[in-house]
Amino acid sequence: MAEGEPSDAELLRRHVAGDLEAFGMLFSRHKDRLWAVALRTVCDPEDAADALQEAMISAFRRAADFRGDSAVTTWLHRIVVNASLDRLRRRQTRSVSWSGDPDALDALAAQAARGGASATGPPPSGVAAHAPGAASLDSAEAVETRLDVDAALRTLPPEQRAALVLVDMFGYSVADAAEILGVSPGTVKSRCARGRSRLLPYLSHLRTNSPGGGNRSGAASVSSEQEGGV
Amino acid sequence: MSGQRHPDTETLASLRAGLVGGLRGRRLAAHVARCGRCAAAGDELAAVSSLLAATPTPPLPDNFELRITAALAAEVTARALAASSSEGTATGLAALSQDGADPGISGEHARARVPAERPKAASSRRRGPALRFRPAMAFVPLVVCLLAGFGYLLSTIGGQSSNSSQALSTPSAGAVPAAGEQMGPNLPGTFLVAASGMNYLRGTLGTQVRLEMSAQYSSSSGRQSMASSGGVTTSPSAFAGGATRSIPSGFAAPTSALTGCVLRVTGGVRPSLVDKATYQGQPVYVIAVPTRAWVVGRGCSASNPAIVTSVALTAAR
Repeated sequence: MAEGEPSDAELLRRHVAGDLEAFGMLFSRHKDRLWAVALRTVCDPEDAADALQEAMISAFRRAADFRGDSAVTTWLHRIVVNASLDRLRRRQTRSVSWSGDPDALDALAAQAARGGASATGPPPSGVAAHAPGAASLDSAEAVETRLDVDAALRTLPPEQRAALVLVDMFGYSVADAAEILGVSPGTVKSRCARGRSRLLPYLSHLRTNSPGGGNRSGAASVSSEQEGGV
Repeated sequence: MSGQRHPDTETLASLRAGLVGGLRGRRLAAHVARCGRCAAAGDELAAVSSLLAATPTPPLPDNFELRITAALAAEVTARALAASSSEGTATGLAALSQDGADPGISGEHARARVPAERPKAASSRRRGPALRFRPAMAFVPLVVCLLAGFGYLLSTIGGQSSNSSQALSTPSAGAVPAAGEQMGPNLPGTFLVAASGMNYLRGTLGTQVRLEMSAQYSSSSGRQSMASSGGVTTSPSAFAGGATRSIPSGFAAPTSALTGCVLRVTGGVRPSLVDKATYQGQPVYVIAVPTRAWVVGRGCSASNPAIVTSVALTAAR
């Protein structure tokens, strides 16, 4: 948000007061982040767009119910995550085995790689494959990594995936994620821990390729074995 | 140590997350501290988090943003209508009649069509308490302009619009499909903004607009082959490959402010032309439906249409 621009809370207040453009500004300000959460939660671009649209209309209509006891962004994210999870539940009633459309998401990821764009802001330092200008150099590897991450995320149960996406992927604190998901911080921690352990077999091979990662191998999946221990 | 077990990865992940406390937690931590294998597994778990953090997500594609913006614009219109209902509609209709700015649909017709169809996303929601009625005095001018078009808007919004409503959205003589029709659903707020570079002039405005509408129609027809197979926005696979191609070069998606502006100016009718251009050398947007064109300032919005001038479009002379 640039200096001098109204805060999120101010925009929401204006919207409730009848300003016809305030909500559009709020949406424009946060659309990419909200989209990213929806997309990572439902793992399908078309469904993510539907979920985001439903969520924004819901937020538009229910803005007066916002009590201000959390950040506006937290409130928006909560609505988006709920809409995304609702969409997944509705879909599960139609198809038990659905796990996202890999082709659609993969193509979207590949397209974004060609454009070098990201909805999640600048990548952490040292992640050269995702840095602007490095996209073309390492695009094949970056796309491959992204596709592996996408596929791995699709293996998680939706609630587990939502927690992990918020905390690990988008950097929300456990407390914020708990508020967004409407569960206790302990539940968020538990879902994240289980999610990480479930992803480990799918992603451990990427660590040796990722800049900054070591070459320590093995121990990708430490199962209960009779060899030393607790 | 022999005969004892390594903790599994879920237990290690729980330990790292601070979920294992007490004596068991201390024993586990002590084990990990002296066990290279478990320490390595802990590092791998940390690497999972790092990998997720480093994996970017594609930004919201233009065609989806356009769709959502259009849905929100419809909500703005509905809100204005709700506000006007609490104030009474007679004044608005009378003013509309006097203004003569009706782009081809009467207020009665508009209201008659309201219940027929609703936006896709809105249709799954119940109206009522969630949509609050507020003091509407500040919105009366907007309501007056939007009232006639709103029912019409609802009748045409949504990808499943009937042929009849589609026909109404591009009424009669010289109807030219909007470039936005390539974007999929026939939403009144779903249109693209051209940048023709044309300098429209006072004496020839109508002719120039008709020519530009025809030029865009020819251009968009030529592009139909690219966009038509499977529908650009209706299938995920088409979307995936088409997020950028769905907006042809020379066009751009409108901002939410411009969408609100256009819906207000046209009374909720989908525009045949929205052109970022100049008028008498001044930067403007030119907005047109088949029967009328408006020149508005670049700062045009739903609350401030900033109309410079308008002209009726008659059949080509």
